Amino acid sequence: MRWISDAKRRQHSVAACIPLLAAAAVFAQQPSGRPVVAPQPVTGTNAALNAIPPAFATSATYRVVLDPAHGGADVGAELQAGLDEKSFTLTLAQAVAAELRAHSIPVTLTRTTDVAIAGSARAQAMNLQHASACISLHATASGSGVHLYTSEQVQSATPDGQRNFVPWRAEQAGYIERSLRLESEVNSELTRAHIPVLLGRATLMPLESAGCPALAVEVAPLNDGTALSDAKYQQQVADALTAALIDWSADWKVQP
Amino acid sequence: MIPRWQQIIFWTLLLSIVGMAAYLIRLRSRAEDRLLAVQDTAPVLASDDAPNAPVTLLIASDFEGALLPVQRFAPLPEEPSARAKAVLTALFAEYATPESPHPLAALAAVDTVYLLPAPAVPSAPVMAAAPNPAPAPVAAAPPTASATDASVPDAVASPLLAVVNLNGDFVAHHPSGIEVENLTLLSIVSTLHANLPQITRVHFLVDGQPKDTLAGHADLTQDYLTATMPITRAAATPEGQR
Repeated sequence: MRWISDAKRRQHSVAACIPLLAAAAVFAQQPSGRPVVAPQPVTGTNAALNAIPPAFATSATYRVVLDPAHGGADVGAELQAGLDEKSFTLTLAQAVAAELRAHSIPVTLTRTTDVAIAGSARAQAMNLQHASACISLHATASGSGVHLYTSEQVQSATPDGQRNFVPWRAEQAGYIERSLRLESEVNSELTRAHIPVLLGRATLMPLESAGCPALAVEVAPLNDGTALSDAKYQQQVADALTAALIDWSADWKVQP
Repeated sequence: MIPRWQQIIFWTLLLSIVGMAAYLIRLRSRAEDRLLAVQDTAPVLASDDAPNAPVTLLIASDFEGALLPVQRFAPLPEEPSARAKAVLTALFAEYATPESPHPLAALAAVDTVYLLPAPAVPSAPVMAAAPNPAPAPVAAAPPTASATDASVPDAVASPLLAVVNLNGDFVAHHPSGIEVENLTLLSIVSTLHANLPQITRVHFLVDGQPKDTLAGHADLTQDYLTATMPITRAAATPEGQR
């Protein structure tokens, strides 16, 4: 007994193949499995983020992304009366960006206003820029000096261009050695400015998903009583970060 | 008139149905008993009359960015989960003191500690040791087993995953910052491993629920491996000595 005619069977076979062929065509167009954007819809509403231009075809241009942490309802740490982390990081990022632009270095900020942006959206902004340095700025009332953090991921043995299907939260593994070198440059400049530095490793967004040499910079008050609101201290930190990023512009292409 | 053979089949099937229903009810009852038995083995609170025993606490210091070992005496119950909670209670009692180098709110920090067999395959990505070969100036967990190890039952000799359920009020009052949050987590993980070396992996919950970060920075979504603890390195060396 025939359950289905030959003609219908052929029609069904063709219909079943169409989605498979379409999926194969989509995969064939993917140049690499390297994640550039988050796998989930981004909830960020920052106008600056929307204005970020499309990805560069090449990463030959030295470009810096500064990420002022927190924003909007997420105020971050309360540093002192009337000063919270989100405002401090935005002020510091704008100061560093202005100094870098004065040296003709292209800079992008993940936020330029007081808005909340998800960690994945921040990493997405870094990756779309193909940045040469990504600095996430934080502040805290605990500890002293400046704390520098890199991701805890282990350096991937596979070169960047040959890595396929990299998990979204493991993107930084291809950049750990360069992130540590960037950390070293920032450490040198802060030390030169007589600011105490603490180095560490931590699991932090957006560092984990950043496809660039990435670093978290956390500014704390100084042991001698200098508060975070001290304009001179803020300027010292901004100058040191700027100097380090200028130094890095000469070193970032050197492979580890 | 219904034939006799059909009546026999009918009554046989009916009896079979009743029998199977009774058997299913019995199976369900036994499964329920098993579940209740599992709940009965859940961790209990540390007993106040437990004997005092030496406990190694890895105390965080905000200014040094390091963990410093100190020895204290605390009542430690025999049951491993209760012992783990007692160890952490002693740790957070240190942080609640006014002279603490890592001041935290004097609130009950840990609600419960569950100990489970550690999964064989690590979930990626996991925390990894800092590749920097520079000698670490901080005190890591003691490499040898502590004096309290002998009293740990054989049942927990295999690697364990500790699920630390933090109190929501404590988390809400925790200072915000990358360093201060990481030090709290590393202090918990190192202290657990120092006193219960079988604990090789720690996962954090807040009020029984997963949470992204402790207070906006330190990641709580991943397991923390005690064998590959990241090291917080010292402050920068003076110019010319690097």
